[in-house]
Amino acid sequence: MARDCVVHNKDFDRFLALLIEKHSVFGPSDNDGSNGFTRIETPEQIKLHRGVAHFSFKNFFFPQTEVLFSFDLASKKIDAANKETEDGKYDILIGLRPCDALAVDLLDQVFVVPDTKDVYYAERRSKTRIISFACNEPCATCFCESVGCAPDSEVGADVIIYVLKDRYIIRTVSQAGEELINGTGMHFDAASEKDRAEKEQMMTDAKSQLTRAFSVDELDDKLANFDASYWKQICQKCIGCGICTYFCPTCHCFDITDDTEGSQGRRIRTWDSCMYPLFTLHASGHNPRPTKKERMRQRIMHKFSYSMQQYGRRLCVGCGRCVVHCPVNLDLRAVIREITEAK
Amino acid sequence: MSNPYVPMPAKIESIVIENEARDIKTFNLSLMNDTDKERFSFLPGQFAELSLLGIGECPIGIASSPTEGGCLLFTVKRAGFVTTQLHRAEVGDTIGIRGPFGNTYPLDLMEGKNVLIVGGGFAFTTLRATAKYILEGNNRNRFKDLTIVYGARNPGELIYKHELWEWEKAKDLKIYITVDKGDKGWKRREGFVPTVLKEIAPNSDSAVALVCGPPVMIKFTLPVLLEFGFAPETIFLSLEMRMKCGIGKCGRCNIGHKYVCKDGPVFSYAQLNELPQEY
Repeated sequence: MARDCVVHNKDFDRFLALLIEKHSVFGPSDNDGSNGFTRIETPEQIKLHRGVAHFSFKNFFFPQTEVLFSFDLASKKIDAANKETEDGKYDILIGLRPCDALAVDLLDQVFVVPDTKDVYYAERRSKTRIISFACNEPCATCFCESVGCAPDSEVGADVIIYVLKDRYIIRTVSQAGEELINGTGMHFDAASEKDRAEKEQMMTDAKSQLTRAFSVDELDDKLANFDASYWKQICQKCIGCGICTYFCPTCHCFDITDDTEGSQGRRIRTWDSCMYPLFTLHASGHNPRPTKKERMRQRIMHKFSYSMQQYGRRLCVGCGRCVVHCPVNLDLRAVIREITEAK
Repeated sequence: MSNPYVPMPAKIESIVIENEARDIKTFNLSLMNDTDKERFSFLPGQFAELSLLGIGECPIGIASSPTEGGCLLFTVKRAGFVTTQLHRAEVGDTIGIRGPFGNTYPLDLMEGKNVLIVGGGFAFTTLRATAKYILEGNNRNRFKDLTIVYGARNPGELIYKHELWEWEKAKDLKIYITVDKGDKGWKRREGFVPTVLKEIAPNSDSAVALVCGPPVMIKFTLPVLLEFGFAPETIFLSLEMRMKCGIGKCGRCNIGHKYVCKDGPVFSYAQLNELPQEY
């Protein structure tokens, strides 16, 4: 199904402009100074920095704050705003790195489940196509390779774009991606052997820049020891700020709260974090995860062990955002190394 | 596509104050929409999120059996923000329900077997639902002997009192009611639930035990059951956790890789032995 097309640099902006013309396009931009995913109006607004965007795409499908429904306190009438649209229109999320595209696929496993589909996430997800960009230059904090992802991973993407020196290779990954490319009405040359060889070389170079941060080979066995003594050491530096969970593209924990003003109210979902003590505090006062040791263990275990039992996959894509943003330099890679090297 | 976050409106038909301390109330709710009534099919052991607009939600076990007709009973202890507001609600008020959520007591496994129910305090709610389910005319033959051991701190803290006294007289079950410490008028047993359980020496042959109560009761009840030959696979416990979504997404009610809201709340003791002791 996959098809490789070639676009020269001079035509690439035209390709983007055609996408913008036909769809609502969202991508990493510095429009609001954040390098988060925002609405893209012109091709040059897309800002692909080295490595991943500052903020992940997460806010797009799973907003940090989202109104689930509004209500009237007097009449108790509920207005759930989300409506399923069948107009065939879809949005484009462009500029994800392969690690973020993989994270979309992982979040799908949580939110798009047949019996308990999260309508808010699923609705946005079903009307969005994903165009990722392969990584030519991983950052020092990238460790995708250690968790089974790669600079050219296609998982989660409908289309993946390789940036060569004077041209781009646009590779359609899914049927939806194929339709998306055809929908532009633009003519593309098929990639030649030379194009492919250059692409392969770039990817080989990219991969050579990644160093193995840790090995997951023995991780399952190590993490099976829930009461291991190292948890007490590992958590010492943590100040429980939760920033790792906010930046993480696969962390999906949330809280639901009510907000009222006069007779009008809204039920709101907000990102929450397992790093906070109130997260699990019972009304009785009992807390199953009372100290940072239990909370740190929960975060690591959820990502690297529980998810293996739940989905057969790890909930970490190696984007390195938690490493970059931790205010006390608590490096996830070092944590995993400490675990795997423990006796 | 149905939205699992939107509560169904329900009317409070009646409220019973269950205990002397007046902090446990049973709310009898009826769903207001016919489509919701049809959709809300449940079995003993499941729970629902009770929802107060402008206040929030709390997960509460369903205390009634589906065999009891249209009524939905929820016995709620006043403990936190939502339950405190719920205790201020009056008959005729409209509240919301989301659910039913979670798994059930192992009714299939219990079929054709003796059932031992061990409960303590206000955690007797879904156990009451199970007893009602078993005792219902058409169901009674599907199960063998039903034995209930139920205790509370003192006589005033026993819930569902009228039903307990009726069950004492009934022929199709055996019930042992006990309190940690009686008062002047108390003519029945005194003693902790595990002690009483030991006295009655339950027969574990072809039997299933369902246990729900405060942690300290469970801690001392499990060794007694094991001592009398109950295999960990035949002992079932219902757990509680702080929850929000009820559908395994918000991430806070997990014990290891199991979510209490969707993989539980009922777990066998054998299953719990496989999970981290973090609950």
